[in-house]
Amino acid sequence: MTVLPTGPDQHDFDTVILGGGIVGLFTALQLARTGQSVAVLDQGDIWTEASAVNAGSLGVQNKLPALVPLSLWSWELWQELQAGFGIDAHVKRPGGYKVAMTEDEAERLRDTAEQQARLGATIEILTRQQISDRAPWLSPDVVAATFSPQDGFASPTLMGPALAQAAKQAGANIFPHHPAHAIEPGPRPRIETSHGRFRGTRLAITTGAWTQNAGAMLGINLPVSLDVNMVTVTEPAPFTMQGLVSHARGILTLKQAVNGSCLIGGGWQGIGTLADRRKDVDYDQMIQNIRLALRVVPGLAGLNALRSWAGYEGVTPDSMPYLGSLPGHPDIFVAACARGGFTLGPAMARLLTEVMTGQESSRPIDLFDPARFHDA
Amino acid sequence: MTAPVVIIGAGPAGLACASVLAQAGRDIVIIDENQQAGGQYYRQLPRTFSADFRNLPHDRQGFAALAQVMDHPNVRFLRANTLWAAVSPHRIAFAGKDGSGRLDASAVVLATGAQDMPMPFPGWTFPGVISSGGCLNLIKGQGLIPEGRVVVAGNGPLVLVTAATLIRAGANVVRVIEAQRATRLLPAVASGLRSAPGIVRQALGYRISMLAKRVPLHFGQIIAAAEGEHELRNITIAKVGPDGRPDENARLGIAADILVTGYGLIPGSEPARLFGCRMRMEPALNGAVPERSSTLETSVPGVYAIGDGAGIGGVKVAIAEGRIAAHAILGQDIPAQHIRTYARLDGFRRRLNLAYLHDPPLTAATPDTVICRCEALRLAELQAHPRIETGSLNVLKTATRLGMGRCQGRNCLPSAATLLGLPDDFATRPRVRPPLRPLPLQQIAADRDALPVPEPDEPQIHQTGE
Repeated sequence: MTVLPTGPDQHDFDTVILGGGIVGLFTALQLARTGQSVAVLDQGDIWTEASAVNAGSLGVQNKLPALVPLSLWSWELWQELQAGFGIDAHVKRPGGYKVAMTEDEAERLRDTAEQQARLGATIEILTRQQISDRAPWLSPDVVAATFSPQDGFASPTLMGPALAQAAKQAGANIFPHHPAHAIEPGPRPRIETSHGRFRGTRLAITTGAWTQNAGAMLGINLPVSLDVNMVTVTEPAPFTMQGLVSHARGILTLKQAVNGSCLIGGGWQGIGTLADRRKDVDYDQMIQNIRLALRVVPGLAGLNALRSWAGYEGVTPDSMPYLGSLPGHPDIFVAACARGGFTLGPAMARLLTEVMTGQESSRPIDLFDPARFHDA
Repeated sequence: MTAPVVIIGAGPAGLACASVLAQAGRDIVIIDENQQAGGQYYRQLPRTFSADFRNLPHDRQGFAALAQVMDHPNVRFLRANTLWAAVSPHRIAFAGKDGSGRLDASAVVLATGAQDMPMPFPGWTFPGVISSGGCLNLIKGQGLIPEGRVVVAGNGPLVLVTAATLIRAGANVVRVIEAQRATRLLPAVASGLRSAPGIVRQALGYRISMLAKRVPLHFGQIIAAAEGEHELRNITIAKVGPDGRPDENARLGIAADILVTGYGLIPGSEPARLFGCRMRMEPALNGAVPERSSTLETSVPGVYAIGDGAGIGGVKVAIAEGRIAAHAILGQDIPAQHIRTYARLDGFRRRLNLAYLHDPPLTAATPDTVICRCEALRLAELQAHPRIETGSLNVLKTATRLGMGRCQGRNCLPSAATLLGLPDDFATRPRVRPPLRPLPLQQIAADRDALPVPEPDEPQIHQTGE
């Protein structure tokens, strides 16, 4: 355990949040509105990692079935967010098509749709004729598709600054470029940074891909593996496609954003580690991603690509997020690594706020227990 | 078999480099976005044009001498192709209408030329307002001469070149304004009498063309605004104030149909950033340039940068640099006369660039002026954005979409940094992301050398990266 020096450069808050992404900022906003004093520390600038550089999908069909109820709830919170800020963050719910290109994929598509529907998702299995009628921009090679009116998207670039501004106006204090060097547990746990010590009645760790490192500062095993997800964006274009397109095997997302740009994602992997921070594009992966996109929506072929980029996403061994207090540290909480964190961020933040303020969580969180790998 | 030297850009720098390499028997691939070699300075008309264009400023002899190398059997020309990615420092990806693929290179020579430095002012996006580079391209590449009353305004040697080219081609140039004071320029020009007499003689020729047609040239004046209804009608010019802005009390309205603006050239150095070359801001070279050794090699071994893309200097510097890089690639000592010539020219262009440099920077934008054309962002909304407090162009990009459009920040970011008072350094500038230029998805997908890769892993159903 690190022994921290005492000194005058100490900041006291009710809650100190480590990590200024969607979960950290939304939690800060909610806590600040209850009158708590809140500090958000970020290792760099806020809203620059996964929350900012993801492709903006707000999907239900592309979620693990177990996360469907949370996704549906999170959509309601997304709408509250957008309405509450009085800004247009391009939050849209035009629905989404999930496609299969082979018979095997079609079978899987139907299985998943059934599971998701049992958990509350509204999903329609389309006939080939319905696909042609309703989405003629989908390739004739799409052998099967499902449609959910609950799929949508939003603009990460518009939502982040609005969320940060709202948190500040509610009284939250944001400290960019405050990387944590150590976390000192105990009554009124503390975070040590090179700009002083931040002490809170409670700490929250909302550090996404960096969560394993944060856990290690307390000797807690929160295993996280790193995905380096790539996205390619085109120039603004006339109507090319509608809604969120996803893939039976989870290897593609497509959407045409409000400004007309088409975004191509799907978890194809770029190059980088947390240590080297490269986030470089892997050209072979990028090209396969684009080829698949053109097979599904041929109308994309002539559009100019403007930019490809990569961002980090933290993944737990069972793909379920970490949410709750850390084993042995009742005042230190974590909420991180939801697969589909842009969709699920508001729900994660609401649940975190509930458990940190001693309330019963309004949705079950047993599957998300941060202790589940600690003894393994 | 040794891989070829891959030269990006068939302008004077790239052609001069190729000439030396071809003579030594090296295989060369030249990639250029244009149909014909020549770059901006030696831009030629399409071969199918048959009308009489004798008043156009084509230096046919100079071009013919340099372009001989294009017929050399060792040279392969990928015309109308784009370098879009550096797969590794010695493997590049190209794309074009006739196919896309990758090339191994024993050395890479970046000879990617200059670009216009936009200087936003009220009305700068108006029809009838055109950049110097664009105007010269239309004249040289298509024989298009603007009609009506033309005003040429800017800062730098290109103002003279543009004005004289327009006049010789028959355009009605009514006024030329240069923002720098003549007294600041004279010492540098005088130094050129000894170090670069050819360049000074050429400039004098431009000036004589203007005098012969009695076209007035004014120093220390800047464009304050351009106005009109459906097309340009009037422009307002003003004395440059001590703050680098148009002086409110010394303004003059002029009727004009075409306004050609050339507020300097900046190096088109994104390819060097894409290759991971160490960069620096160098005022004497007009902007962001790769760091280079005395043989013009960048910080990435085997990657060379020459010509205006590595620092503004014009055609003579470009040719000198092309030769030096070629000798270095061949492992030869650089001939002493090349070193002397280059030292002379390099000293002159640095003095000239610095003499034209206005401190504080020239600005004529008002709060309402669009700064980022692709995303239609105005100065005031960028200044008022809460994320500007981060001092980071990259954070501001993420928050506002500044520089996210077709130009990918090439046009807007340098002037945005100045206008917003943000550091234009490489830690806070957005990264250069592939493709280097907007490129149709089908051309990227057509990469014949792309390797098969494992698909994204999937626990049950894989959660797609949002």
